[in-house]
Amino acid sequence: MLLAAAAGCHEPVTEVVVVLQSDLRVPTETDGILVSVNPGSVAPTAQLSMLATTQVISELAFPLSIGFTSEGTTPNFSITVQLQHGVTQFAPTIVVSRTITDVRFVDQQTMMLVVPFLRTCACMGTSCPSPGDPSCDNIETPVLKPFDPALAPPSTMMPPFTGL
Amino acid sequence: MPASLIFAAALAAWGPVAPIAETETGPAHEGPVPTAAVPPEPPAVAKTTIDRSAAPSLLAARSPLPPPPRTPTYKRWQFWVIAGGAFAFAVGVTVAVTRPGPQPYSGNVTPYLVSFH
Repeated sequence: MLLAAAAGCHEPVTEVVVVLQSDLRVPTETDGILVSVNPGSVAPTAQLSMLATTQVISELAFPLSIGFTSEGTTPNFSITVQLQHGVTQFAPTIVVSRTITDVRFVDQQTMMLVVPFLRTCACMGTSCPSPGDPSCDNIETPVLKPFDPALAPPSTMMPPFTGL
Repeated sequence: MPASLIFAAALAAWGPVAPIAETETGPAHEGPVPTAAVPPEPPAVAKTTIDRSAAPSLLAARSPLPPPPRTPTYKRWQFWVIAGGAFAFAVGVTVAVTRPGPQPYSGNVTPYLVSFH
């Protein structure tokens, strides 16, 4: 009984893995990514985000992925992902941007959210596609699926960012 | 009243002194009788002949047997069962407690893994 109790000390992880898929070519069509994160259901913006990171993805290939774990402080979170081009230049341009709000954790389960970033959703200059295409629109309270390792790249075992 | 008269009256009130030692040990003598000087007569049974062949079992029963040698604790199987069980239990608890828990998934792009604390 004590062994069972000791084994029960490790609770399953509560996590949502966001997988970013795209048919854009790297690095000719996109070479950078900007990820903004907010706890809660408020969409992160350039002026309001708890975490915003930019990375050159010239050496990477889709799918890309980010993990979000919860220690119980927030039941949900929101993210904005921008695929950019010309990040090594002075003024990178936005290729595709999508915002997903109210991503809800499932207690003690690892869930997955696959978000496509299609070429058809790419902005042309300063104009981006009008809302109405489900594959390009922002997503609110998405339906999560159980984590499928076949759809996500291998875990990098990177330490978590715990500033939120 | 003279003291001798008082002493004589006390002796008369005490009664006659029983001459026990004198009657049993022979002629009277003065002073205490040493007990070692009068050896007690041996019991009558000591004078009889013991036939050991007649009842050997009875003789054996009368002589106390030496206690059996005590088995050391570490040579008892109960000791090793208890010790082995305790060792296995301790190993199991240690492994269960120190075993790392399930690791969260980390992505391949920054911020890789965000933990909401």
